[in-house]
Amino acid sequence: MIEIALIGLTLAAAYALVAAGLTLVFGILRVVNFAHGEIFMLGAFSVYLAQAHLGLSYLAASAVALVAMALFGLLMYALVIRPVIQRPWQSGLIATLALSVFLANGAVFVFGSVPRRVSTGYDTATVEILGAVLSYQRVLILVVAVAVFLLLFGFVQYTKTGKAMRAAAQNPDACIVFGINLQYVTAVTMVLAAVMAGVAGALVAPVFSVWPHMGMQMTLKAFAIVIMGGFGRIQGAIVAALIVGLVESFTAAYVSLAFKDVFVFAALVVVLLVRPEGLFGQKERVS
Amino acid sequence: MTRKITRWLATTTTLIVAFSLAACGSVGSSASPDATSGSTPGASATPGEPIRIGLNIPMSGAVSYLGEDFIQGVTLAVEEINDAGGVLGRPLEVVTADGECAPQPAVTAARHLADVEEVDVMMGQVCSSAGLAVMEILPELQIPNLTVVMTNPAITGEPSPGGGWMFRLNVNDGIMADTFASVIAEQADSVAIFGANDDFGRGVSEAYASRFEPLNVTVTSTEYFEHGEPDYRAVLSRVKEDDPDALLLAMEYGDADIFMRQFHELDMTQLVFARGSVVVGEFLELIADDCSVGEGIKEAGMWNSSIDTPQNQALNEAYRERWDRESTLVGAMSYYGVHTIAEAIRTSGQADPEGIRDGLAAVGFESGIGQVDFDDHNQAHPLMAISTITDCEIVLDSTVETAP
Repeated sequence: MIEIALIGLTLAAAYALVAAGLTLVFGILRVVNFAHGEIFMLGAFSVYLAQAHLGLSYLAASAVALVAMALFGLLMYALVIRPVIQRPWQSGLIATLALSVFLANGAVFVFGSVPRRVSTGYDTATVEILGAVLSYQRVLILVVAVAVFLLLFGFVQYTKTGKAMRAAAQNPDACIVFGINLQYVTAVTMVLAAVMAGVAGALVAPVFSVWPHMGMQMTLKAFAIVIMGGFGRIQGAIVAALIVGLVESFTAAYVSLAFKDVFVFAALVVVLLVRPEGLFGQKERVS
Repeated sequence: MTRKITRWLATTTTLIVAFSLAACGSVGSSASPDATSGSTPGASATPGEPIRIGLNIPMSGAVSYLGEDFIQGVTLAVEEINDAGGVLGRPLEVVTADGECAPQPAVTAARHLADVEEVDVMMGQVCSSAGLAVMEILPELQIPNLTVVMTNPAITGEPSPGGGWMFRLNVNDGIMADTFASVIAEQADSVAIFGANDDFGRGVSEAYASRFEPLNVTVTSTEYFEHGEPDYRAVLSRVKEDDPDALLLAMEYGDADIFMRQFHELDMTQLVFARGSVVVGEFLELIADDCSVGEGIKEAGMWNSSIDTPQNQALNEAYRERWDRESTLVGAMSYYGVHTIAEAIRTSGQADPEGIRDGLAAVGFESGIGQVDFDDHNQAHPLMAISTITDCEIVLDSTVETAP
């Protein structure tokens, strides 16, 4: 039971990293980013490429991947997000959907569809926690996810840019009045989201496989989590990710691996029936 | 706006999931496919109207890597045949359509190959669910379909499958289970089965469960998973508690890579038997960083690179030279499939769909995987191979004659 719960927590940690970036982009940029899963995929592929072609260790390859993802986030902001940010929300949705299809198929074209392997050197080494056996990599996923969220909360809470991000999320028009550079804030948000997805990709690459369509699976889960947690709410994304990870894990163990998504989306339906705005969402007046 | 988008996305996401699940669980209910086409090299080696072979294979989705293997084998065979002057003086030409390894996309791809590309014969699919769906429309399309890797027994369960247009070159799971279930029973009294959640995985599960019973082997649990499943740890933890003597995996090498690493992460010690593509070179490529995770896996299969026939050894060499990698299961079987079609055309002396169908029904020749001739269920009975991964290498334990 503890082992299955811990496995659920490692899943939840990876989901939370991806979903938090997705919800951050929506909260501040008001863009529904369908390509967010593909950033996760590119993060995993970056680690693979840095390891396979540059001969770097797992940690060094991960660092390279994070820099690559930060640059990719900036590029994506400049080429895809910025042109549609002032347009109706459907434009952003379609633009990112197109980017998602382009990146997934581009990855098939460039890398082929054979799954790739990232090795840490301690892939099957395990540690016992409360009687449960976990690989070092799964422990690393948990530890890094907690560290990333502490850093994120610190950044958003205490830095000038973080405060500007919060202000932009609450009232972008007022930000302009107060002289906050919204373009800078939105670009930083996009970079942060891309780096967090890259961290998730780098962390799960040695546990799962690296393949072009891994982003699509993750996008679906991340959207369920963001909707469950409440759009634009990081705390909501974390709590919802915990629910999804644990539901998946226990369903896989005690019901059926094939039905785990059924239970996850059933949980989403239940949450939306009780709180249509999501766990941490706020009710809005619709004119 | 947030509420509006939330509602819109919740509806969209639920619909996507509903359609995806429906596609995985049943025939004929899936999102529409992206049928694509393209010609392979080597088609203009000889003069005359090309004989068109349509490949209905996964080029996208979780097992699209099998589609890549398929194209490699077909391309190799087509180049060989065209370089030797073609068949009946005509070159072979290949067009492809993305069947996605799912029923509805495979049906749409088959219609595309028949109606738009006007192929003379089709090859594929790679997944049994897709093949069973395509089989239903073959009487309407009136084009023969040679399948080379699908193993669900139902495909050739009745005489003249697909109205007599469906042919299967490879041995199926019923034939393999007749032998392999006994091999498993010699070493295990209880087995947990892990199968892909499609007609392949369910076909394997049913074929072995029915044969285990008279052999006094207990099936402790049967677990189904979607292709591309990233995490088996939770279910493996539970299976470990059940403590069966062995696991039987019905999975492809891409899934087996993750599965076996997580199996060892749990320090499980059960014997591992497999059906699908696990004891193959492609799997060893994936686990090259730590090949011990595959140690001891024993698999019953339709092909093995070690099958010691001159044609098979020549194939291994040609494959290595052409693609700079070891021959693959799907690549080898698709290679033999093209040669079977060529032989059928030579047998009937005709290259139109009816002629190829009649040629396949009448063909009889010695291939790299043994004698190929089709019975009244359009099922061929070539060799079956049982192999084990030993010291990080694939060792052929035995080849088994499957002719009735």
